Amino acid sequence: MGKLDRQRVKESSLQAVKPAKASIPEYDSSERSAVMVHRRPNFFYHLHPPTLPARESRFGYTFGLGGISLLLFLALGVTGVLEMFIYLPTLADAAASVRQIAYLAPFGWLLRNMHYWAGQMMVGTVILHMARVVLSGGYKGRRSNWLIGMALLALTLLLDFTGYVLRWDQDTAWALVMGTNLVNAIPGIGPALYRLLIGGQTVGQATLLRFYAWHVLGLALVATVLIVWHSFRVRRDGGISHRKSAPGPAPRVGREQLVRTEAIAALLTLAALVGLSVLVNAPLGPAANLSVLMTAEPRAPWFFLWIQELLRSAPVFLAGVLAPLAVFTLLSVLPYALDRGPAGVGEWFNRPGRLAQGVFLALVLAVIALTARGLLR
Amino acid sequence: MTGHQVNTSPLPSQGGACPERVEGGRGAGDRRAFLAWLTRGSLATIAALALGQVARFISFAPAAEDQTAIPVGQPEQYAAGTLTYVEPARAYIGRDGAGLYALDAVCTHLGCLVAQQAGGGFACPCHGSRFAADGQAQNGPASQALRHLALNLNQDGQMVVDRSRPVTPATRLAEDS
Repeated sequence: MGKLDRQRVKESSLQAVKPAKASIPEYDSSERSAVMVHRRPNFFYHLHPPTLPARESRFGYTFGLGGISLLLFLALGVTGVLEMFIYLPTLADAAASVRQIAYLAPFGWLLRNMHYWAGQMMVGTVILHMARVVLSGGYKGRRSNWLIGMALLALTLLLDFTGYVLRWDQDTAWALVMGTNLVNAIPGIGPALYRLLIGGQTVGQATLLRFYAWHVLGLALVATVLIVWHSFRVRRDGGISHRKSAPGPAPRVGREQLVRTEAIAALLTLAALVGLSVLVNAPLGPAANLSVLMTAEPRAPWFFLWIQELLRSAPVFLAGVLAPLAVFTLLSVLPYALDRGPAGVGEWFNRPGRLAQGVFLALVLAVIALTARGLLR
Repeated sequence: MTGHQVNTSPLPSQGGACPERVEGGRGAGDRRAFLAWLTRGSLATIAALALGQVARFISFAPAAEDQTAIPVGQPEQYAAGTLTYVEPARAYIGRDGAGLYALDAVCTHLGCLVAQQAGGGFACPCHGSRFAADGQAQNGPASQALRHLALNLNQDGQMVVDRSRPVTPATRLAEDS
């Protein structure tokens, strides 16, 4: 580092501007961080670069949605493995073993509620995470990671649906019948794919076992790999997406500040999860019997209600297969078709991305409207 | 800190493409390329074969329950003008002027069980499809009629439903007594 560079750094640090290339002891401004920086950075520090862009590291920019989703995924893994100690994926025992978890095992109710609510919350946080990335131009210049994110969205929904089925009560078993019959409606490969999915001609023991295997390992393993890749790509693409328009070096903060924010967000998320799980029980209906006439209308899980609404008025293949695929494809190609340029990265509602933001919001509004109609029915 | 010098001694010269470093004379580069191609080809072939077997493995389905002869009781149990849902068969057994018949309760739309309606006919609780008393699709997303299923008498005089064999709506059980 030359003399001139060094001088500029000194000047800028007078305005609390942190230089990018400063060695670690230079940017500590409090006694607390002065203590920290001389320790060997622990694992959580090590996940981050030494310094980060100050503006984009604030909670108000990302809302910590990616990290919160990751935390919920880990919570789902822990509670899920514990549930596996009791759950039996057989037609005869599934519903009874869920009741053992919910009513007999000590704190089983809390475990099951936490697994349920973490799953519901994760659907919400990954969708909000996606919204943040679109609306702040976060995918600009790093489109491949957007595709990994889309795959993770699909996996999150599939994991939730396969888990929903394992409860094996009247509602979820009929949701399984309807959901798998959608596949049956695909011209050509539909029936073969349907048999592969349910493991035979009709929904039965093989179906439950297959969904169990997909839920606890097949999908979860792929999701784990993709989450690691997704996070790695953020580092590889130069850290959190940040604004590049401002002249001169952007202010930066040390990573311990971000780790502290993350720790607070993690604690609040866990508090919300436990609080919700203590207050509201996960639903549990009468054990499934696909021969008994239904007394009430079975409902799709809330994140698929919009598809159920479409199915009321449109042909099965169109409403149940093509429409969701179209929405998914349209979202996937946003940075490839409608918002290609690098300008506006890190800026909320940036001008070059207006079209993509408009399409995204229109899709979201349509899905919300259909979901609301389904909920009010 | 002016002596902030990074060791940037250049890498030893690589000398360009592979064949130039080969000392085995003419053809060594070709041989190397061929062997690399052979290795990749073998690995790809093995992977494709293995994937094919994985597809076969997950396509395997254990023998399912017999759906061709589900007992639904004696013909005398069903009085004229009645329509009864029989759980094991997942079908309605009805008797009209022409005789006994079995009507599949599985909705042709997405597989829910249709319910009898007060004014005759059936309604699907899932997406609101409506069917006439003879199973014809009337309203809603379902476009195909409910299936009529083969109804037979077994050796003990018991009626059995064959879920694997749809029949025409006019078909009735041959009762000779």
